[in-house]
Amino acid sequence: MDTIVVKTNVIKRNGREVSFDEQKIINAIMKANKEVEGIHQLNHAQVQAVADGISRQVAASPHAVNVEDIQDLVEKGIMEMRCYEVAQKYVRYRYKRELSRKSNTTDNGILALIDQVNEEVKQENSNKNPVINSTQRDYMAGEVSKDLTNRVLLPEDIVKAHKEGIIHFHDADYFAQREHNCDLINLEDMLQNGTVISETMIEKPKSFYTACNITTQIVAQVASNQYGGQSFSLAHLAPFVDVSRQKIKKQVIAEREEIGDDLDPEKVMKVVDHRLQSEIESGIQTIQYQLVTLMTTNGQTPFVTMFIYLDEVPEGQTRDDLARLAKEVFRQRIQGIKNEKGVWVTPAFPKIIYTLDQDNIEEGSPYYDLTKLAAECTAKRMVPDYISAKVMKELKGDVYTCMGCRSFLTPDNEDNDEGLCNAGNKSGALDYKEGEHKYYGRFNQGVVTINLVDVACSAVKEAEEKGTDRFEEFDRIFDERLELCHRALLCRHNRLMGTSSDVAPILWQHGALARLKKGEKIDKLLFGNYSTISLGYCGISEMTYEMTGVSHTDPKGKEFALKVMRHLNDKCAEWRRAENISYSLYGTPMESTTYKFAKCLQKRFGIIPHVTDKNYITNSYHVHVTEEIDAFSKLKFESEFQKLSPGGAISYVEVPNLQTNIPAVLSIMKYIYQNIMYAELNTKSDYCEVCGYDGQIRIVEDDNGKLVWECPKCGNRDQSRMSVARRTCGYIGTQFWNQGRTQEIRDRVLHLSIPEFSDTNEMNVNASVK
Amino acid sequence: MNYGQIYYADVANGPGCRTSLFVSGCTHHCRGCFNQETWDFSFGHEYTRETENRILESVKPSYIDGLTVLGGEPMEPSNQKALLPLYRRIKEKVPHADIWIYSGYTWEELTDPSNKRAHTDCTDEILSLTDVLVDGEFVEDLKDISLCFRGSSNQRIIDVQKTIEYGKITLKDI
Repeated sequence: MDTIVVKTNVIKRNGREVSFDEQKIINAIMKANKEVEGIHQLNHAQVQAVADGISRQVAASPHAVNVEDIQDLVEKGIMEMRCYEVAQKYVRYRYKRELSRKSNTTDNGILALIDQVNEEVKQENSNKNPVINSTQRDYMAGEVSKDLTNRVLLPEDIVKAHKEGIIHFHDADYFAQREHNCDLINLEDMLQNGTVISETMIEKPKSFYTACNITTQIVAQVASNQYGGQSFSLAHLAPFVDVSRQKIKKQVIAEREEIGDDLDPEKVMKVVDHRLQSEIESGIQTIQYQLVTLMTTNGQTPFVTMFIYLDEVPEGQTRDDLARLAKEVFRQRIQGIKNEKGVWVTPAFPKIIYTLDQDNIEEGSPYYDLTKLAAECTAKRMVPDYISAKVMKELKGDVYTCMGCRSFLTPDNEDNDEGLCNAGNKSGALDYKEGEHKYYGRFNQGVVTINLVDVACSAVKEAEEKGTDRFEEFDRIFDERLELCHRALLCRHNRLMGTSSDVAPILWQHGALARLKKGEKIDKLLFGNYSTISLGYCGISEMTYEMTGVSHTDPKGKEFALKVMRHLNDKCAEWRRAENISYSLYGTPMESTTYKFAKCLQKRFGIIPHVTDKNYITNSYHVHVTEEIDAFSKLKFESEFQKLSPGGAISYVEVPNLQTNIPAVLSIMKYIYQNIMYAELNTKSDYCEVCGYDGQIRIVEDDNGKLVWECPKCGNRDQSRMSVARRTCGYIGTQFWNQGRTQEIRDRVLHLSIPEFSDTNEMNVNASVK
Repeated sequence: MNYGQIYYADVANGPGCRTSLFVSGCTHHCRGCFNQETWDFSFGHEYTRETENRILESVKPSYIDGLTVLGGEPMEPSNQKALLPLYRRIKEKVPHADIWIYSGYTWEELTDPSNKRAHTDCTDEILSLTDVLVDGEFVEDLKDISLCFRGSSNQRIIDVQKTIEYGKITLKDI
């Protein structure tokens, strides 16, 4: 008898393609056969006939056949032979296998994390302390959510690509619930028009201090109902300074009248101003201390950013009041917060963003003193980061802050097909003004990141194997992977579809994002520009090296890198047009993912110099951390890429301790203002509790080759007795990092004081430190 | 003249971001010197017209505050002669860039025409082009790492132009 030639492949459950093997089908039928009595069994000819029938059908298929489909064919084949008993056994066998595959797979993970041996979870998020009970509860929920996501909620090919590090499906530990990522909260609407917190009505506050208190309550509630970060504007608190001023004034006049003092306006206002100052100090302190001491249900302090942009309030008293608040924020941040040992240290939150604008950037401009204070604050505490109003207006037409996770909303302008994103006030905001551009109250649905390094490595490998052109292979694989990301993003979007406003009343009913009715679905906010959904990317640096053999700072590499960036944008635009969902390209600030991707790449491609030879891969479009480039050239170079990363990305420069050289900080800030939309300076401020050393704690290799932190003065390596603050991707971490990230931090070169000759590096560079 | 190193966008040797030139050759031989290898006049690389061009180009951007010359000893007579053309070109072509010089010689020594070790035909012109002189030898006993832009407390950060104008030592307000 002729054997049937089957060229079609079979896709196994784990996603791998294998060649078709008829013998396996025969074996499966024989196994079921043995379970029944002889009279009900198929004879050999029948078994062969069923198997041949399936072979023919598989051979006729134009594409690889899923193993589940083949099992269906087996079932049908046995039934056609009228051997119902055998068919029944086969179906039961299939069902049992299915059950065992989908049985509880989280036990080990959860027990490991409770016993604190789950390394992956331990080092996943630099802002969570995984030994604390409440954090562990969040992690347990996360393990369950990840498990559901992998087994039930996501298609297998996406799960597989995620596991192999080809893409990263972010925040799977929250995907089971209907939560979005990050947002700009509409604090103004909530303070001015009232809100509800835990079923309690909160009316418009009657003093600045109360407004600060309510703000922290709102931030805490919001943080507990989403997995990403939130941003709020200090401008929304500014009007309450005058509320307090007027209130205090009345009190002072009444008091002075009572004791018979004169009512000389100058004297009265002096007293009023003193009391107002002390209220401002208390209010700002409340925000700072409450936000760093709060523990949300996510097992961490809220990821929160405070945005400072003077032009958000009208010129005159309110703007001066806002500047006064900003000054107090900086003053208190420079001081720091006390840790448990009573040492002043750098707090991670709230993150601060300060907007550089023509009224504060040049010497002699009205708010230049505030900018100088911001520079001091950056030198001491790494924040604020800087947004250039000038560049942002050129790029986006408006000035607004990024959301919690460094992602930017799509600009709100009339040119879009559907007009303004909140046209007709679909969010129900009480501060709605027709024709006004809306940013506060908008949000991001979530992120899926493509590993561009893997695209490049796969392309080169296939081209070598097949003798084809690597760039053609790249284009093909790139598009396949993008389509995978696209489908994964749609899963995110669809998971949010149908969400009832009841799941998070503070967000959807009481003004933080919208004021929908009880039980109303949030669906309308998931379309148009109201919310964005992010296609993340990473590893432009390594990708370019693999494809072109040079860094993307080289003109040849740059041309390729920019082409890739444009293609990513084109895809987002194409999907947006087709679905009216605001896809946006986002330079993902990867934390633990950088380590995971690096490990996966080494597993798949081995060690390739400059490409897979590190325990990390480079975030977004960043110049590789080991590449020597001065701060100004880096910012200028990266600004071209930032333009092409509209969904968000931050550039940074790595600098030494600049506390004694504030003019240098100001030079960099002025350069940012002229050249790049959003950037930050990574300064160093560590502390050793053993010897009291206040400076940069270094990374060394221990006897086992593991990277550890060591005080350069006393040699202390006990992480619990030192405080180290480093910015890893927009956020300041203080809980130490996984080995991949630690290596990346160690490898960082400074972008200032660049030597002409590297051979004389030994020379002491600093005249003042002998 | 030779030089050991140039640092671009340097933030350690004067306010703002600067170009710092470490020249070779020094006869002070201070105890505890931070760069002993630069005492040798033949240390490092030859300082050529190309070097001078590179330095001039590097201070042109508006975000570079100026040039700092240290070493070694920029005010050794032979080094003064080699550096004067650079100072002239910077002041002529790049008005916004200020010039800082670190010298082990004191202001008094440099401006004393009878002091043949420090004062040369070039010295007066160099000082007329200099914005700040950090003067005096490094004294290990007076070392203080908390000092800004100087190593020991005997050293002075002198505002050269005001000092010339007022006829008395005027310190720079840092």
